[in-house]
Amino acid sequence: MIRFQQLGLTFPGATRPVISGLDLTVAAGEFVALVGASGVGKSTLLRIVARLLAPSAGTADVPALGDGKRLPVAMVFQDARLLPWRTARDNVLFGMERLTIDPAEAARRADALLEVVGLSAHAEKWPRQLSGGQRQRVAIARALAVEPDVLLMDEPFGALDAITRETLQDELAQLHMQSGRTVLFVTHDIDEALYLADRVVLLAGSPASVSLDRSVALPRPRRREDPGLQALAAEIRARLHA
Amino acid sequence: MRLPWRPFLGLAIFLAIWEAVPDSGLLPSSLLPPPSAIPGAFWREVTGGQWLPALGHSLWHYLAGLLIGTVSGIAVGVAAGLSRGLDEGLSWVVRVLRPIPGLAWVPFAILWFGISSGAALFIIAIGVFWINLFATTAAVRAVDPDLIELANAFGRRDQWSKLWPVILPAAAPGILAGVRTGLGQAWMAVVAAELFGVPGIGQRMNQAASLIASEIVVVCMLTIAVLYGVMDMLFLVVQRRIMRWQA
Ligand SMILES: Nc1ncnc2c1ncn2[C@@H]1O[C@H](COP(=O)(O)OP(=O)(O)OP(=O)(O)O)[C@@H](O)[C@H]1O
Ligand SMILES: [Mg+2]
Repeated sequence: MIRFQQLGLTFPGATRPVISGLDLTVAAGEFVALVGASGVGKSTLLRIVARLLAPSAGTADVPALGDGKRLPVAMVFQDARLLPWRTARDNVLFGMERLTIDPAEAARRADALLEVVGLSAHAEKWPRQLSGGQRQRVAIARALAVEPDVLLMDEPFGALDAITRETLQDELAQLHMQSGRTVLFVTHDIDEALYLADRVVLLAGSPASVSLDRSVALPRPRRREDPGLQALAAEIRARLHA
Repeated sequence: MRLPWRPFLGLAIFLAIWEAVPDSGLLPSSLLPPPSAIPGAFWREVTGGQWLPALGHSLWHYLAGLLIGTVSGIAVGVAAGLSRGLDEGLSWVVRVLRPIPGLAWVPFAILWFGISSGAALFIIAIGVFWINLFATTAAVRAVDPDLIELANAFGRRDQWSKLWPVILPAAAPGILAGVRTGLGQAWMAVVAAELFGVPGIGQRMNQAASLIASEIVVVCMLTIAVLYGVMDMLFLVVQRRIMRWQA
């Protein structure tokens, strides 16, 4: 599905690469959590998967661009990035407009997803009338609406309160089990990574590469109190602070 | 709501001074008519059948010239904002042509179109064109790159597919600021163009001046001021509707 070999990325005009010698393979249907310090290159890696950035070294096998019928990859950006001149509902429709989806079906999907993220009552509001967390949830609905093979999520729950976060984590876990979609999920919350992911990948170094790749072989659905999770968390924290 | 008494007071003082100047003999009333003479002069213009046709001609010049200049300015501005190549290619031509004031085109307007509405439209449109060209180019270039990236991420990879759903709405505040400037600029051009004999308020004003009918000149001036005020108000209503997503 996604394969990086000796991946390197240098921004134009920069002297040092941000990423260098990174090897990572993500199989179809896998849920991979990316963790790492701020500024290490997590968002940059997602941009390469979405073909928003081209690698400057190595090889990157990432999904092809859509053919008009489907969007193979959809992204939830770190900032919600809604179009301010569209209502919440019309923002959810944005991705689907490019695809050959029957408008009635698109509308049905948008309403269903707004329901999932708990925003049915706010569907007709402008982004400026929504809170930061509500905007983020619209962005999540917008990405899910195109039913991508690969879902890229860049700290999607960072701005949410604990209760909404746990609700959406559960929704995402369930969605992943049902759809078998590949998910690349950036987070700085190790407990969240372990609760959701099949694998936790730690990016570290400057330039960044994979410093730890730990599979989370715990059965689903998972429980937050699972002692197995606690043990893994301790292990990853130790590595993170090493 | 409190009454806005200061503007009223200011207006009253202004009118009082204006009324006093011809009375005091500082200026003969043929050179500066007192404001009290204006309503009567306005009524004579209307009943004499001068005012309405002049207004009609001027409005037609204004609206048609404005439309041509605005649409073409925005169209070229969008193209130049999107294409570095086009912008660079145009840059020297624009640098030469742009500083030429609209009025300097009058000789060519008359040569090409004769003393006709066509000449007036040309003079009006050309001034409005530059304003919209620059406002639009700048607004399109300033579109938030994050929104462009968002469009790319959701399958709108080429410029065309981004134009209507992302680029134009994002650039709308800047484009509309240009349109509004053009709205005012166009009235100046209307008067200037009509002073050369194309029928309209400007021509009527010129006739009145040569007859030393200064109160009619004032009627014409006020007509233009009111029309501009109405246009600007209409524009604000439309703008508020288009930009209702903004706070
Ligand atoms: N467009 C750009 N041009 C130049 N440098 C950039 C650009 N975008 C990011 N960088 C640099 O690349 C590095 C990685 O950035 P990136 O956004 O991928 O970090 P991150 O891991 O997502 O951090 P955070 O957790 O804070 O979001 C940073 O040092 C940043 O300064
Ligand atoms: Mg980031």
